[in-house]
Amino acid sequence: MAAQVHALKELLEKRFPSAVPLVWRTAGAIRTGVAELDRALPGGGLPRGRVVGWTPGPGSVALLRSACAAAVGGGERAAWVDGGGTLAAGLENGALLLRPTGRCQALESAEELLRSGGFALVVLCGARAADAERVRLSRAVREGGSTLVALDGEGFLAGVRVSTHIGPTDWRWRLDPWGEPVVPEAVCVHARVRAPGWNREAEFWLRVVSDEPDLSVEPGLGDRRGSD
Amino acid sequence: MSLICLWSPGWETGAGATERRGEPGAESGPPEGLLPLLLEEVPRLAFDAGRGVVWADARGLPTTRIAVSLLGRLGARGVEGGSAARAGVAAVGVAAELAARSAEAGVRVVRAGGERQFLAPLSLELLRPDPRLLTLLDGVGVQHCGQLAALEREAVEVRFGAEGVELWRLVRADDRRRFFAPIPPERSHASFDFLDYEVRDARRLIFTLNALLESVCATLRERGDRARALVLELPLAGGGSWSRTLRAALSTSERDPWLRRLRDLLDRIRLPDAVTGVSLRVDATEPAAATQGDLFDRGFASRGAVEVALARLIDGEIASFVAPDFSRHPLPERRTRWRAQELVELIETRSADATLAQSAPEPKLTLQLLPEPRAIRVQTRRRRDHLLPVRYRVEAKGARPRWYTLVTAAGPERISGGEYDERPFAREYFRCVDDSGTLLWLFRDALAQAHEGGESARSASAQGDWYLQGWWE
Repeated sequence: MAAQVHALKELLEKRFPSAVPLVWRTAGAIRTGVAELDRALPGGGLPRGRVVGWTPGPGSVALLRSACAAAVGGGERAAWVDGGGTLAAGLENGALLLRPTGRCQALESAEELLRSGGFALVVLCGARAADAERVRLSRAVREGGSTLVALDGEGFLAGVRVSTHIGPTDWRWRLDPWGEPVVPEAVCVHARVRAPGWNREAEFWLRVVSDEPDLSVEPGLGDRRGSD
Repeated sequence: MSLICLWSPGWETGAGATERRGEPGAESGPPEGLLPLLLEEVPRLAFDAGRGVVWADARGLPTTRIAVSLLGRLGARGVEGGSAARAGVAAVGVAAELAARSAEAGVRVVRAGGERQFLAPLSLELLRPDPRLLTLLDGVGVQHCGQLAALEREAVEVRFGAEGVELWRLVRADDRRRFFAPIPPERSHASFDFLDYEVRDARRLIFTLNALLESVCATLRERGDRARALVLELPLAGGGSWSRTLRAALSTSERDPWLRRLRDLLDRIRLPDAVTGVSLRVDATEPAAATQGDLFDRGFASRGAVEVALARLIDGEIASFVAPDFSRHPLPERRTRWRAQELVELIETRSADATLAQSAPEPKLTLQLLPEPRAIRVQTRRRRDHLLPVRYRVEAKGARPRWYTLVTAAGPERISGGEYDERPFAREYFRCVDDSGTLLWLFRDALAQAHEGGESARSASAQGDWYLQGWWE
């Protein structure tokens, strides 16, 4: 059955090379959850059936986590291939988190998910692809109609490129009574989106999750933070 | 004739029986040693505690001889109630039961086709109906099976209800009760013995396994089953056998996924001895069934393809799907444990979340943790009672090291512990923004000197004191 469907798709692609699967048009682009950034992206979000090259930088993980959550919230699937194993928490809304056993396995996992056609968004991070691997991934994206966001995706013939930047003075801190910074509360992110014939910038604020360590040694004891 | 019914007054534990025996609350199980003793003669047994009878499946066996033998064993071994037991043999259950109950002693056989005539003169009380129903029947003069059997079904239904109809069927020798659970079909299996040679290289077995697998999978498809687990068993030349169970994330009757798993296994193993044959059998199955889905769920149409893709990644050990389990461990790198998720869990989670979560949460910068803290070089200045980091440098492989200036540093936040159950630790954490705008999480290991040999090592370990724990992204 799967072979017949594949053969039918190949036939349609040959006869109608410029045809685009209907779902790409009906489903629309994948939102990132930040209206300013969505407006800067061509099509109002991450385009389907394309590779998006995203330069790693402050805010990139936050925005892509949000995009995964938005895809799942819309009834679709999203997956995050964590090649570097740095994601400290799970993903919201039930997006799938993969931990591959190595770089090649990360690329193979991403290709398998993309080719299945069941994922609206696949994020690949911590695994840089060589030339041949980039070609395979690009083909899988086209066949499956998914969006691949390659963090650190240098060398990809990406339809859209996104980079984010935060300046040293863009952080908003909660201060202590002596005026010294204690906890970062929010940050202003500068995003730049480039595509053929498209160059936009966006600026928006993101909140910072500072619920990292509950620094008490025992749950019942109070925190022993600060020395002043 | 295929059924043997054994009955003894001592085995009955129904309400009426316990009253008769004067043992309220008597145990409802069979007498100790009864069933194992009988299983020496017949393949299947069923004990009906309420009616106090044992049913023996004697299809294909010489029933009368077996029945005599069973009674003999019961009498000889001294099983509770065994000496008073009687046996009825018939093709219909109700006839066998009443034959046992009405027998003076020993075995009573009911001729095939003559069950209704046999039942006709017997008292209805022998069938142990509800006492109220028995009273009603007695009130209209129906006391024997033959009298009830002679009535019209509609008349019985109108006057005595469903219970009456059930009893009416029994007295007409129309017994629809199932005494034994159906025998499960034999699981698919295939095997091959090497008569003239032995195999020492496991990878050479793949050709034989391919053929066996084809046969096993064909049988599965014929039955409408899918295999969840396969057992590969290899008889060894020196005696004994080597076996391994293969489990698939997605149960399937397709040959390719199983062949891939077998090939992976054979590539990895080293056989303890030469192999003289190959056996493959299905260990667990589940019926092939389509999943009821939601047509408005956009991911529904692609569910099958996604299941296959995820199963391939899990089975091939290419990647594991993980979910975090958080603990309250004070060290951040040990706080989160990653738990591998099963395929079913992945699919079910998505379905549930897709229907519940229609809105995406607000994006927030979250902490990214290194799997283990990375040692860095840090320049500090003294501030009150602590050292404040002002510059840092990461020695990364293949990258040109560079000093970064820390424009903001908040802290310290201090943790310590591990005195009793692990290596002691004491850390001072700082949240710092460097000149590239990245928010970092650094810490100073306050016990580094103690770990490295005390104060004498302090001057030589300027780099080892400071670590990069993670960053916000």
